[in-house]
Amino acid sequence: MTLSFKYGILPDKFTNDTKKPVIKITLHGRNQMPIDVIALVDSGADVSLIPKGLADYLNLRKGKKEISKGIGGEIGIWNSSINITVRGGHERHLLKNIPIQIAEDDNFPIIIGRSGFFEKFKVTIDEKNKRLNLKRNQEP
Amino acid sequence: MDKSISINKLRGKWVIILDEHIIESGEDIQEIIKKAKEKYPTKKFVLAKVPEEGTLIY
Repeated sequence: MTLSFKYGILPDKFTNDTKKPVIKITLHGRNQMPIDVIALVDSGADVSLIPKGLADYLNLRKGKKEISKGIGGEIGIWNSSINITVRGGHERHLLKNIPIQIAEDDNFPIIIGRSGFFEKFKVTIDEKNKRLNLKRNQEP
Repeated sequence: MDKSISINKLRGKWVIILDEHIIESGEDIQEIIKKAKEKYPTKKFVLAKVPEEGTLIY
């Protein structure tokens, strides 16, 4: 089965902005209730990214602080990992220990990058129909 | 906060969405989650960041 997500960060009634390929996912923290978030799916990002405020809310462990480089410049990050649930229709996929980078401030959106995620799904960006489709790959 | 709020005032901010309504917004993620939980302790809401205007490049 394929999970299909309509482009757009906010409900349509709020904005006519250019729609972006996003998915609603659940992030699981330590000692904290999971939280649903809207995340941008970015095939150009090596690793997923979440802002520090969210990582702190989820009580995630942080590794050593490093510098990460992107098109927008350099940012301070901590490496970590997280469990993510992806849902759609009758499907539910729990992805464990997905590598993430925690951005040092809250100015970055939540980004799902390739590592740990794109191996699990065949990701199709259907720009014409403004939909993002995920098909679970078979486990080896 | 309701659906009539101007989206332009939310550019770059984090929002909490519940049943297609924006119930909280701000720059401090933990603070808006806390406020949303206080208002709706049993509801499941969604956190999102409203993009700045223009093309999105990272």
